[in-house]
Amino acid sequence: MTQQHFEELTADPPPSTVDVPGIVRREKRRRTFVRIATPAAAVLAVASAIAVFAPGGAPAPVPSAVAEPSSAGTAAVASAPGFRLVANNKAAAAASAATLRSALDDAVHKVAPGATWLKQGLTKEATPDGQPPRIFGDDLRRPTDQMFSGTTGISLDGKRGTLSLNIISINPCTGGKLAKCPASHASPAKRRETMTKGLFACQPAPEKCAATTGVDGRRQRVQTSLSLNGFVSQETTIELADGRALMLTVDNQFIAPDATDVTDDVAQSTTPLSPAQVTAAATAIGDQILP
Amino acid sequence: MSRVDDQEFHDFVARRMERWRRSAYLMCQDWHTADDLVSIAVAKIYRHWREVRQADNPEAYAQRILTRTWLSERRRPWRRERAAELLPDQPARAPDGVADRDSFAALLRTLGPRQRAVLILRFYFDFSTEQTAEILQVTVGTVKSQTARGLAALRLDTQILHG
Repeated sequence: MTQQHFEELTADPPPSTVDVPGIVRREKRRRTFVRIATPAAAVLAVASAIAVFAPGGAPAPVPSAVAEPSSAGTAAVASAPGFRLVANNKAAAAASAATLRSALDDAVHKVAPGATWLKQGLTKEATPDGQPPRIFGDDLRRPTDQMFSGTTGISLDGKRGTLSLNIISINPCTGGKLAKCPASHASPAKRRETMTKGLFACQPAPEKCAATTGVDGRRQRVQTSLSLNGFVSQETTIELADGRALMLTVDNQFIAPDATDVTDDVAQSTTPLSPAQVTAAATAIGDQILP
Repeated sequence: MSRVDDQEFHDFVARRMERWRRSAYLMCQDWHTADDLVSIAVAKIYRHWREVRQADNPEAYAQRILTRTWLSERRRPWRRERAAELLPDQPARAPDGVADRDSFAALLRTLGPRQRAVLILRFYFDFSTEQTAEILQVTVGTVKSQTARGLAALRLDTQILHG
């Protein structure tokens, strides 16, 4: 057997149907906003951890207690009195991040009582099993420009995946470490418009998407994203009272901490949490964030 | 991914596209499925572009993604080979030489997916035993034994192997 035998077997290939630009577009869309802060979050891990655990650090000036949600079930989670997400300095950022983390933990377990947190990924900063994701925040002057982000693994009923929580500023060029300023030289107004559209408008098919406006006038988008290799992502974006956006995403990708093959990361065909559960959790958290 | 990375990715893919399509076809023997496999692999390569470009041998890394895509896609319900009531016609005996293209294709189809992959990597891509083992994430010994069994299944002797 020689190489020639193989060459003969593939001598007359039909025209390619591999749409590389289309694949790249889909992958970019998938990444956009969902993972906006993830790479920077790793860089911030050490700094924020120091802020959280620094001895003698200033107590959190802003967040108030997160109230206990009152009802169980997957359809709705009762709202809590609320807290503000402020990160004017490292201590405030750490305190807000801790409150947000606690609210996320409560909301997820309220809509999915059997859900467990899993250590995920190969980085040293990965959150240990059993703990909700560490949340990292930008310490910028304007509160509405401050961003927060956290990601970890999640498991429910044998399904594994990744959960990401992002608080996103509508101004993408904040100068913060978690911000991502587009390369274009568009005006600030144009950039805000692009960002708003990207967060709250539906993308073209094949994404399943519903963009709505709540009774209080705040926008919301619930979207299912698909990718060629079986990747599925359930994403809910909610406009917060202070103008920022909260995006909660759960997908079916899971990279075990001891993985040797990071390319084979689709854990199963569906996500651990349903779209309704993701939306209920996102709404429960979003309703608690005060302007 | 920066614009430079993007361009580098597109160049990398464009240079290898035909070879990937051919190797995918050799594994699955269907051009539509081959293009599906390549599309999935391209998406994975895009996602892991940093790892691919920083690998010691990006070519082998990309081939590993494609080969493992084929192996894992076969496990999916819609890709599974289906049981048939009647077996397709088989030649009474394998040809002594592999001059005939259809016969060679038919013989290749009789191999298991891993054996098929081993032979394609070894004798089409000319990867070494060690590189093939790395791509398939198996031991060198497994590659050697799969090669021997694959060739035995094809009823080829070393004389044919060498030309």
